Amino acid sequence: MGLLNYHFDWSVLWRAPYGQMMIQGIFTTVHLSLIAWGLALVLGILIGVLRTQPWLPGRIFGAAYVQIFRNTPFLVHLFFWYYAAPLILPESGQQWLYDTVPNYAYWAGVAGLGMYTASRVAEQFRSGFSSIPADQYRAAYASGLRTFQVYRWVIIPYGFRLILPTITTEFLTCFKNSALTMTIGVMEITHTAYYIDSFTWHGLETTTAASLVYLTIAWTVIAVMGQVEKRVYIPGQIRKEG
Amino acid sequence: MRVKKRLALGVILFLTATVFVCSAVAEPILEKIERTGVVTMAFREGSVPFGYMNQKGEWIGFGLDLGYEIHQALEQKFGKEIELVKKPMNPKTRIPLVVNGTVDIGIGSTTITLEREKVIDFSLPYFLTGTRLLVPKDSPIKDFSDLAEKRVGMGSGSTANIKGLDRAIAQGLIKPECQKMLFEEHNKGFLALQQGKIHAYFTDASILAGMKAKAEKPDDWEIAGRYLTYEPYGLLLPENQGEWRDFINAALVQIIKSGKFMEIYDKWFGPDGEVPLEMGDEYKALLKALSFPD
Repeated sequence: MGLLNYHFDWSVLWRAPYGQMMIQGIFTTVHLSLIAWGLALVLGILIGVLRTQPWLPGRIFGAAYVQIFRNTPFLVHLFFWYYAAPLILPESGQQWLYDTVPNYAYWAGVAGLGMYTASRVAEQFRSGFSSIPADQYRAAYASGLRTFQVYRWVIIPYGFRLILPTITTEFLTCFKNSALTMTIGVMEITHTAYYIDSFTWHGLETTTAASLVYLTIAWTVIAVMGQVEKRVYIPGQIRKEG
Repeated sequence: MRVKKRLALGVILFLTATVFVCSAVAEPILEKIERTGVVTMAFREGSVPFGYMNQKGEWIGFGLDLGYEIHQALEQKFGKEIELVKKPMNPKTRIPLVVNGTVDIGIGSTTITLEREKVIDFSLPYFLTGTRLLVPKDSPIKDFSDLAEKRVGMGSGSTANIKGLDRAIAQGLIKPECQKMLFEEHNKGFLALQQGKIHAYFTDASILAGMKAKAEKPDDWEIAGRYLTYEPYGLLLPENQGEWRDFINAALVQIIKSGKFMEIYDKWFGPDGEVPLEMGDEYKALLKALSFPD
């Protein structure tokens, strides 16, 4: 019964056809999360800037985006992008979409994860930008830069480095959240682990392996981001010198 | 250092406790039911008509009616009232629930497979269906060979289905091969079919009949193709519980012989039932074979 009679069989992780599935699952998790993260970073910076710059309609849009995307469950986003979003197209358009994008679920997952994470990233950037002393903005304007240039050359490079540690956390969360895309059928590593389990009854092995994959990814990200932090930190800020 | 040691000790204690608890539940189920006066059965919640919630929120279905009959047989056997505890199960949880002893029996729509036989026991097969396809009414898909290069949905926990389709692809029945799309629940797959994300949904005809019957316009849907595989269903029972299994099998045979089984079948699958599904000749023969003499 139960644990006593459970015979561990780690070979499900590499024997055919499961080994191939595991590797594909790992790759799917990695590239799905990376693409979503790229999207989140670009959108997040944009929204973060919109929320702090002086133009009112932009600020309203940015605030609305964050309030909607950050305050609803991520799972709902996935269902939205997978089931509801295509409905705005006419029927022939939907058919065209499903025929030309055969793994629509994957891209729905990327969109969902990217746009959800963007709302969180945007808030990090906003707090980063707002923590920059107002004098710095004034000084930048006084030197003749326009709003775009102020952000491009002064605020973003500065704010980015201030929030680097919290951005690392968001990056990790993005990877871990990618597991939820299994609910719309994306075959990432968690889904693969469950899938192999349903054939072999060796879910303990596959989910352990999946957890190790997430841990490895997380440690890699932390190591890389640690290096980045070391390279770009502003002397006298956050990191203690000496 | 000390903290680490304590942590390790805690982990070891926890593991031994788990093992101890696990080994302590090996009491014969029939004895346990007599002692406690409680039987625990698991049913499906989202599989029309085997076990589902109707619009009033009542938990009903073919499986539940079968469970009530078994419950009655238990009360008769022990000559006292037995409490029936109902637990929900789904394709992912059904095997673990039975293996770890949470429930005494699982009554759903589970195909008997040799792979599953390794971890649990099955009762005699009491239901026989086969895998077919659900397609929109005017779909060009008439049989499995028409699936070439199409997107086909199926349940990710329905391993018997998936293997069946894989075999058909390997044998060259579907050429070039179709694309498999997996869904956690059949109803999500049906939603995708309605939206045109997939061209066909593939699973047991009994379940397809349920999906069609519960669709907004049942006439818009068609069950196509011959049986790709046969799917005999069995009740889920824990391993090494011979007497319990004997009791369940005897109860099943009695339910079939008394005509009660056909009554329940007609209530759910008859022409006026929830999910009209004609009983195939093979199934009729199976029921005859199960009418063991006393």
